[in-house]
Amino acid sequence: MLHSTQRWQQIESLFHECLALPEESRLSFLREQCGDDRELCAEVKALLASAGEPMDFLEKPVVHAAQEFTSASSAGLLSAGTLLGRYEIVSFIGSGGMGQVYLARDTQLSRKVAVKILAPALALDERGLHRFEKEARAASALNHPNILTIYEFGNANGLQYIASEYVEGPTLRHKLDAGLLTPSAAIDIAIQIARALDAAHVSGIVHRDIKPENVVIRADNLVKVVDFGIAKPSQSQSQQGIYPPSRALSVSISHAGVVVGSARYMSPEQARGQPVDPRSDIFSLGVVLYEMVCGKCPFDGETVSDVIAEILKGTPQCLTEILPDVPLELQKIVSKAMAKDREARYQCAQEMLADLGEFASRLHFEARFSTRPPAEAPAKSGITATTSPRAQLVRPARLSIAFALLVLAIVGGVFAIFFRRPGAAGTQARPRTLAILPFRNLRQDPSLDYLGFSLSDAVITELSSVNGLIVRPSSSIYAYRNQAIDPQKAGQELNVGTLLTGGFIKDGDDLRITAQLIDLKPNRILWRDTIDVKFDKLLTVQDRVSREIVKGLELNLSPAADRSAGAADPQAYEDYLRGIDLYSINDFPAAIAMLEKSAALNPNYASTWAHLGKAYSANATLQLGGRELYDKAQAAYEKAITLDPNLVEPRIYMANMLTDTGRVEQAIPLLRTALQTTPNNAEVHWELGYAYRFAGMLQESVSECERARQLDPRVKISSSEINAYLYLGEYAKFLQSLPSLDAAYVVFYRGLAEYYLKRAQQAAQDFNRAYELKPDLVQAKIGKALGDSIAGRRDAALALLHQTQDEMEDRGVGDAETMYKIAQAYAVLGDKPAALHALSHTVEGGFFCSSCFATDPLLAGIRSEPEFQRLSNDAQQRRNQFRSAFF
Amino acid sequence: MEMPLDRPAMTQLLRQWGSGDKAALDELMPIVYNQLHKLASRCMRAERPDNTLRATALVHEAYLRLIDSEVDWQDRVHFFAVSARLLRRILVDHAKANHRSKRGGGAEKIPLDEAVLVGPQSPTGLLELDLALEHLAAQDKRKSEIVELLCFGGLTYDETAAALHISPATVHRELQMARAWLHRELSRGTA
Repeated sequence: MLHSTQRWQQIESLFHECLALPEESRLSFLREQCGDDRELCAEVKALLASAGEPMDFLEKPVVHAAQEFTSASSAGLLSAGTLLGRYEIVSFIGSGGMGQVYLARDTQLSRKVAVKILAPALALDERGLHRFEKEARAASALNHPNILTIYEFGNANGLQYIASEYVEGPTLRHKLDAGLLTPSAAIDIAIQIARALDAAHVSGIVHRDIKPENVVIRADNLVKVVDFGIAKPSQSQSQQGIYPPSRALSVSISHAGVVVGSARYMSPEQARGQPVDPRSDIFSLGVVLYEMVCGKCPFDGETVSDVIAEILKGTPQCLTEILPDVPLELQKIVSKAMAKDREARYQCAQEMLADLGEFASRLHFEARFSTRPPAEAPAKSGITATTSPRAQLVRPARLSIAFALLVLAIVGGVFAIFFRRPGAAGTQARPRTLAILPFRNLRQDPSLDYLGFSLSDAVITELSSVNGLIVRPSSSIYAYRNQAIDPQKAGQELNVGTLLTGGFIKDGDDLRITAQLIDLKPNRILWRDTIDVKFDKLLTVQDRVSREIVKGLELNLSPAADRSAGAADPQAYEDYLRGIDLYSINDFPAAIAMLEKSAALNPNYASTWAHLGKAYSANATLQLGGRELYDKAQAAYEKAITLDPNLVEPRIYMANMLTDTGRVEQAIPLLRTALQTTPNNAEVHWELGYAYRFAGMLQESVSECERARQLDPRVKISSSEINAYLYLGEYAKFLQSLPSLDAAYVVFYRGLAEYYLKRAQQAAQDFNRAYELKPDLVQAKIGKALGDSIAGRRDAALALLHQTQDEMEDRGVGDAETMYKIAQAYAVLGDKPAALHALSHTVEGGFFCSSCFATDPLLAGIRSEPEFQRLSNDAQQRRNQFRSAFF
Repeated sequence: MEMPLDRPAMTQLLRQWGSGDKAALDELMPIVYNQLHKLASRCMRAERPDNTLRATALVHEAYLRLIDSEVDWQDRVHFFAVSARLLRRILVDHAKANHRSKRGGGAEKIPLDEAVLVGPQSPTGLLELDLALEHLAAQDKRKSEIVELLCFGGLTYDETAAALHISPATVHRELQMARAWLHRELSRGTA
């Protein structure tokens, strides 16, 4: 019913007058005012009755209700005990981007997992499902200690779910709300987030929603970045245009209540709705770091649009203004990360990590030697000039075809020199030694940096199976990348007589490679050539050119020709090269992703499978990736051998895996067969030495390793060492066998030797350094525990050991020698039951070096235990069996 | 991208409307509507109209695209006021279509891109709310405008006040009456 204006006003003013009164006196007042106008009285009375009632659409605007409808109203909570596949629901944790999250128990592996369930209403929607799968795939490709691990993507009872690692701990948001973080804690967290981003970015995944709510901090301070629910393959992976630019904005304001919260961490390009790339995450990390340091958000406002305006236009207050003690250096890092123009930011997480790392060590240093706030410390220089090779990996470069051709051309050149006289190669008294150095990027175009190493690696692979020629493996030449090289010095270091060096320049569509083969004694050039290639026509001429080279050399190159099948698909070949490059810098998860991509495109290239197997296995053993990786590795090796029965690499790598997984007896025949075809292959000797060590054949182990180092001084130099010396008590020789590299693996072993030598402080320093360099490396964790024990932090040491051991046992990964180290550490810490338990796993796991059990000083604390005797006898028995089988 | 109007002109229109020029709104509405459609259909092409990609987000984006970032707060608020009106229309049309198709009538199809804006299902009671608001507008236009801005535009009290050139205190007071009236009206309908 429509009232007259006058009447409406009358109603309204009575309504407000009544509201101002205490509730009990309203009615009498109203009656008095209305007199006999009962209609008016009833009208106001009804309104007053409605006044206090909740109005959903006003509490929660309709537009938001429309958005949330699917997830909110269709939420049928699963009750405890519900079985989803192998997961039993324990309790409800909360609602995330795409559905509900539960704590569940994996009934097969008896461990806690987090299960995220796609809202049923969404599951009906094909597109929702598509996105869910996309999320699962994107995230499960990432395997990094600072990223929440995805176990499985499944479907049960009509529900789609993702099972992931369950992490207990507060989010960074909770920590921030609880109070300020210390600068070193803030830097530590930022470093771990940057590591997670680095791993994701190299795999082509941008997180897009880095904020304190998405960072969980475990009790041991390990940071886990969660919710790659909105992560997407980065635009640089030639997928531009698949996602609308509106994505970031819409995601961050999709939930009423957290609207402003998410917007605060957006990059300017996200706020504008433009396409984002890894640098957007860098910006968000900058914002998070800023907030961690000073407690407030750099860009803030009451509404989303205010925040956005700040992000686009505003200049945040300097940290040094808010907190005078903040070092200028930290301000610089934050400013660079938060530069509005992404070209002015850190171009990749690695770059930012370098600055953060340097700053962290300075903080550490100053904390030890000074109490003065380091505010006026001079700015460092040179950081921005360092280009990380990884940064370039995400940039597209379609040069693979050119590569395949160039590899063949260079291989051809080398052949022409070495095999000019037929029969010369076979009859040479001493095999010729050759190292192929990384090709230099002559125009310093950073997007091509990765080519330098990959190209030489490809040439190495082509030449490595040639009899009469010893080619240094790629691992030996890695250290020479991006460097000016003195051929004589390099030749000495690599112990070779011949060196292939070269460089490349790209100009538009043209790639020019120069290469020269140098005989070092005497110093003269044997062969030199310039090779020009046009990218666009290469695919068609490639086969012809390779045939001509082979013909020109009159050599039977059938295995190599088969292998050039890798070049048939240019993208696959390029991914293969990138994968090798990633492996060489110990980034196994990224290497896996890249090599898998390559194998999917071209499944007929044996070398891809060999390297993929190696990456699976290394990821399992060294970074606790998961037992299933060994099965995948096995399958990959078998595939490689089927495709190319002459390829030695898959056999070498498979032997390593067999040793790591307790099957050393199966590794030996494989290696001995490989030695028959390639007797001078340093890697084969090295792996034999490795296997002998597990079997307690220490002298034999030392002589194989020494032989390998003789053939190639740098074989496996950054990922293995002559441990047999350690077990034999020859500490000085052991130290001598270690390279002088600042790499986590090497530094840990240096610390261990120092520890045996009872130089505790030196040892502690090395252990801490190793952990700082690579906290996800198993050896680094064990070292950290020993370091903690030296510093008197027994509880912390035991906690870390427990956790590491649990991870190894849960995931069924890690080699038995590493388990032996855990046993040693427990014994040192005086936890006898734990030490004996670990030792029993050591023997079961295939490390039965009984003589070192008997003499190892670190085991002194448990040697008198009866259980120790039993284990020792078991080991002795298995060693005897091994010896009679193979010696 | 094709721009129907340059940004300063858009800003000018917003100002005119803000200062009472009703004709300016007639010009503004189709521009904003087209922009929303364009954004929404891009989302569709990208094949992911999930529940995170809806109206408010698109409005904010439309705003960033259409309006000069230098505009003052008032103008910005006016823009969101225009959008609130648009979104109400879109949501209600969609709900009506749903309603019809449920009854088996020849379903009048909602354009796909528009479905992105409103989600797979309409919030319950939307049509009733729309009708009640229409009644309220007939009785007291300002109150219905306040509710529209808050409810369909997702504006805050302060933004609503600015859009209507009244004080936040007035918004609060008007709203007390409006919500009581709407509550009574809506419960009357369901009783």
